[in-house]
Amino acid sequence: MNGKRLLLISGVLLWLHAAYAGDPDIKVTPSASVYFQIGQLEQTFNQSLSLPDKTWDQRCDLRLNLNATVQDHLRIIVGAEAAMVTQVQPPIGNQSTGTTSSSSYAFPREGQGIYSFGDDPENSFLQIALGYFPFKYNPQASNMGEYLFRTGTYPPFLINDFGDCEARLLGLRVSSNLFGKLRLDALFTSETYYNPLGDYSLSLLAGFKPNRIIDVGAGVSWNRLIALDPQATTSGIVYASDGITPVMENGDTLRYTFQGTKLMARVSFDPKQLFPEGFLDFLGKEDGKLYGETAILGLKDYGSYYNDIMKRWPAMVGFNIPTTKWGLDVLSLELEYFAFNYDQFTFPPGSTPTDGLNADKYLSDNFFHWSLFATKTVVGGLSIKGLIGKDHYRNTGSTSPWAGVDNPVSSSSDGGELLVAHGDWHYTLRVMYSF
Amino acid sequence: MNLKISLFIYAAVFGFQVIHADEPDVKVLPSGFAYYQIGQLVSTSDPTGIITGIPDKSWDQHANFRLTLEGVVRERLRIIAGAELGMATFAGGGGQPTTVTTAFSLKEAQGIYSFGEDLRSPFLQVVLGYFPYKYDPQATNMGEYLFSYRTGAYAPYIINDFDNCKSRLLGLRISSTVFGSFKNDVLLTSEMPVGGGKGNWPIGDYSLSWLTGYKFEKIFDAGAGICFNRLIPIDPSQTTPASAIALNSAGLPIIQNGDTLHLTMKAIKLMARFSFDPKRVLPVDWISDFAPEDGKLYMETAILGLQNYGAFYNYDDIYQRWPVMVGFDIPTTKWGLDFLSLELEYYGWRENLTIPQGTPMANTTQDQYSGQQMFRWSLFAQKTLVKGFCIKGLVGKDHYRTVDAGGSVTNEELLRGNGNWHYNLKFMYQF
Repeated sequence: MNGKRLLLISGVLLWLHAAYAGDPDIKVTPSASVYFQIGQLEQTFNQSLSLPDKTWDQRCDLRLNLNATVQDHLRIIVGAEAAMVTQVQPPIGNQSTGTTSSSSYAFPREGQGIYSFGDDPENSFLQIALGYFPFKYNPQASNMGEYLFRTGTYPPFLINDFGDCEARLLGLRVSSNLFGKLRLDALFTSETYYNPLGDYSLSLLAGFKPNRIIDVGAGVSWNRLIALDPQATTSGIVYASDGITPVMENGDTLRYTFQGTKLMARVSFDPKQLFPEGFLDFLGKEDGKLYGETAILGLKDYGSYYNDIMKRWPAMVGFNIPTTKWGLDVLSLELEYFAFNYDQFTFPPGSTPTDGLNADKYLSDNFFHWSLFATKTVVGGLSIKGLIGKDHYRNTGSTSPWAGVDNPVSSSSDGGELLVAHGDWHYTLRVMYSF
Repeated sequence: MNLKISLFIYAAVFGFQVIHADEPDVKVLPSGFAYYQIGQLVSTSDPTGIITGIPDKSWDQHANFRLTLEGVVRERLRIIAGAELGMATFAGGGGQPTTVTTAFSLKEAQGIYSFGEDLRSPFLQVVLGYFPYKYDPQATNMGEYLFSYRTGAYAPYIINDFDNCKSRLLGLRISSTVFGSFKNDVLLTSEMPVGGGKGNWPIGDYSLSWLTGYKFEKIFDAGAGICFNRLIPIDPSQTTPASAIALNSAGLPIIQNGDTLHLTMKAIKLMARFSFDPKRVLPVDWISDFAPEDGKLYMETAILGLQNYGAFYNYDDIYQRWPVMVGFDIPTTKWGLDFLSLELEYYGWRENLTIPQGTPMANTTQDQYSGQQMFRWSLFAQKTLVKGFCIKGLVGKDHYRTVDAGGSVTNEELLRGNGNWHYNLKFMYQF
């Protein structure tokens, strides 16, 4: 709470300072968004019996942001979010009545300083950002993808969170934009969501957009490269298939670890740019784009759980369905293949860093996920978003509000994915105002 | 469930679809307030605090600040986002522990679209989100009975919260004002937790309300409303449990229209209000020394559940669910107050049972009034010292419950006995 309070108070002081001190070198822009959202888990795997079929999820949320520009080159952004969440669950099993839960929470949404070098801060060749910031490297991904930061290694997990297809990172970002076509990012970030907290990761990303037709990118992340508490990050002994003999590697006993090297590649293709200018004017800007992203969530094979790299290799393809006729901003269909298929996967005590915890339990023949995401700006300041699909939906309860979803690796099974069987699906609708 | 989705989409699109999506012209208006509040429970219905942990002489302090940003987009769309940071300390007497709580809570998150040429008095407004709502402009502490934020039905309850005499609702509001004096509101709102599990569970159910009001010159102002409380339950098994069977005086199930009658949180609430300003019928010269609020008489009444049923919990007697409040703005020009309101309330609920298992309110404890304590009163005063700074105070025996830092009330009323009373003072800055 101290961090949240500090952030909020900082924001207010910043605003008051700018508003009343009259400093011409500081320009403060307040902004906000509010939304009302409803959703329903139509059919779930019911793995924990905590969120059965037909569970109703409703929330109201606001975000307040202040963006201060100091002498053109330094931008300071602070933002906080408060939300009220209601879940109504129908009766389970032999119960005669269902249950209702409600929670309110608040947390910092953003708190960063960005310094831009060069004569033109708007198109800076070098930017340094420090703090807690949103980061999105795949501009096309609307629900799935963004694998480099929204995933884990050993065990692998994937996060989807409606309306938030981006990562929120704590640490340092150094970005360079060269020739208007090549973008490079280096990030040194600290783990804020999933235990053990605090570990530092180093990531490098490159994106190349030579023209409006194609946009490609790739990245590597050394996940938890610097462990604050190595024993919490790396512990359990890896045994050979006999279950008795420890596996040796380079003279040392091999141990299970959360550390891992992630790789990512993405591409998007806009075929309508191949046509003569004006020929496809009836299509929207996003219409017809094809895109894909893939990642390896841990390069190294080891142990009995992680001996097949193909099971840690999600791949997503998406298509922006032409919707000019209906006037949508975007209508994205995304399909994903992810073959991690342990259907009874609980880590045995004393064997892994996830000792006693649960990983996602996928049914072995359910490798495909899908989602259809739509957004429509009705009038300036008002938009409607909707999603229907079988994605990596998790409970968006209050236990991990920073992440927006429950911890996927936890001592409780509540954090697990809920749509892992044939026919599972959910939908969500959001009305959002912003300025 | 399709109905709910349709309502949601309808709410979102209705009223906005005729607008062209041009580049927004946005004007941002920040506002805020900060206050320090101190109060004391001088005499409570649990003097030693053995039952409630809140004995006589307990101190209740709050320090809060709120920041609100309002964005006006192309003049017609107003987007309001407000959050509040609060700190509350509660010091019980008699060796009871002192507690400190802090909270950062959402207070307002709404979009308002206005139709019509005169945007200061639009003939139609559509509002969606989480918004404050006050229909009785005179009520300063009691009244505002229609919504679950302030009252419940089956079991009935009433909530008073110092300087917060309004509701906060989540959902849709459509308002129309014609001829400048005839106002109608239709609201489709979702039940929200008021706090502490007080009576409004299960949450999420949708209620439909209609309120109408007519104001004649500045002489009188009348209004009425109806609320179909929990008209659309999200999970009917929680709103009307199969196990909650209404029993007659012989302890047998009541059969109504061929079906077993069940206790339910669903209800129809009715409300009527009236205010009268007698000084407006006098010559202007005579009233020039009076402040605008001086001398006003007003009242509000409600029925918290129209249907009688069951022999237990007093649900067979509508008069026990029928609170009536009258108020008078005492002329205070001499002391320079903004207003000084005296409010009196009669409320005949005499039940003192704990809600049993198997009913919609199982596991909650309803207010336990003793048989002869049907009257409440409060005196509320406000004085603006300089622009941006005012002092507010209240003394009375009302439906007081403790309030935490986030604004949530606790379960129980604390002023139920003879001679119980409390007071509160608030020092408030605002811009």
